[in-house]
Amino acid sequence: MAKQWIKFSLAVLPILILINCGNRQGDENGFKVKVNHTVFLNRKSQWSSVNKLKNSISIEYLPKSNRLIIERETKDTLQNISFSNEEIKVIKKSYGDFRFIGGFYNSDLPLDYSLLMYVNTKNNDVLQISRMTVDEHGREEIVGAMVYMVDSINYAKDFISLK
Amino acid sequence: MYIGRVVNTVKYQRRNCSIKIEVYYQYDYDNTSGKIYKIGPAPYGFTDASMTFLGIYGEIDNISTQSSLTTQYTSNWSQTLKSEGAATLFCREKRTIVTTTSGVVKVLSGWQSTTLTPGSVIAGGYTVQEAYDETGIHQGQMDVTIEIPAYNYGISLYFQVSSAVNMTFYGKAMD
Repeated sequence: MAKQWIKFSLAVLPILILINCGNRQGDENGFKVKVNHTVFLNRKSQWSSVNKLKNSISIEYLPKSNRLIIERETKDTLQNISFSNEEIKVIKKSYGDFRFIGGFYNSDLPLDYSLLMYVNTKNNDVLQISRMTVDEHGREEIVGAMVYMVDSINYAKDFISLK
Repeated sequence: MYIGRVVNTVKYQRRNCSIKIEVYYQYDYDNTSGKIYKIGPAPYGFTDASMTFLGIYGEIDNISTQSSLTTQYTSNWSQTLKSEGAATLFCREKRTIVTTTSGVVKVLSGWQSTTLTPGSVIAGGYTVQEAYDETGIHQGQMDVTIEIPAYNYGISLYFQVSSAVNMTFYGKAMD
């Protein structure tokens, strides 16, 4: 009986692993991550020290409905912005291992602000770039960045700079 | 002398905030005949346009409006009276942008970044990461046409009004 159970387990285990790989976070099905650290790049291109958060932040990306759900002190649902072809051309598609997933805004953001979100699928970190409209023609300028990190080492400072 | 107004509302794309714009005009009519014989911009000393804000976070100041409607007189009762022009609109919005350690962006009215030091806690339990003052600029134009069709006896005062408004918004960080 015990032998049969082991045989059965050996047969089922690889299937479970395969299913798990199929649901890996960061692929086309979106992702959900929990982060405990944040670090900021301010307008003068200086990095802050790493903040250790008392309550972890949960970030969920739903590509099918174009939404990003961030749970922190409160729960925010960010709506995806549809960019024109010209706009999408000037947006940087990656910073190191961070890959661009979309632009977002929510009703709590100032009128002239929008967010560009990037995700690092290797370690499930999320990069958020803040943009501001700076003239009447709608020109956008990057004004800040932050990284939501699982770990507490600011590795992003080596390749992200606003200048 | 009578004052009329053309009202239009502009709603910013993406955001739940809007501005109601009113442009004022003046008309005069003959009491005995009821015929309007003059139409033109609001007289000197009157506000020529105004803006009302809905869903805006900051402190609005430096509102400046200027309208340039044409004036037309007539003594011919079968002539359509028409006044057209545009109002230019501008104002500043003073606010403070606060980024919290959890990445939430908060907007406060007025300039108060000096009182928000990094690490301090604001309403809602958010810890301040960075705060800076910003000026938002609302600017745009409203085109207006007011027409009074040729007069017919027995018909009350009748204005045909059309307007189109276009506003832009952008921000300037203060150092």
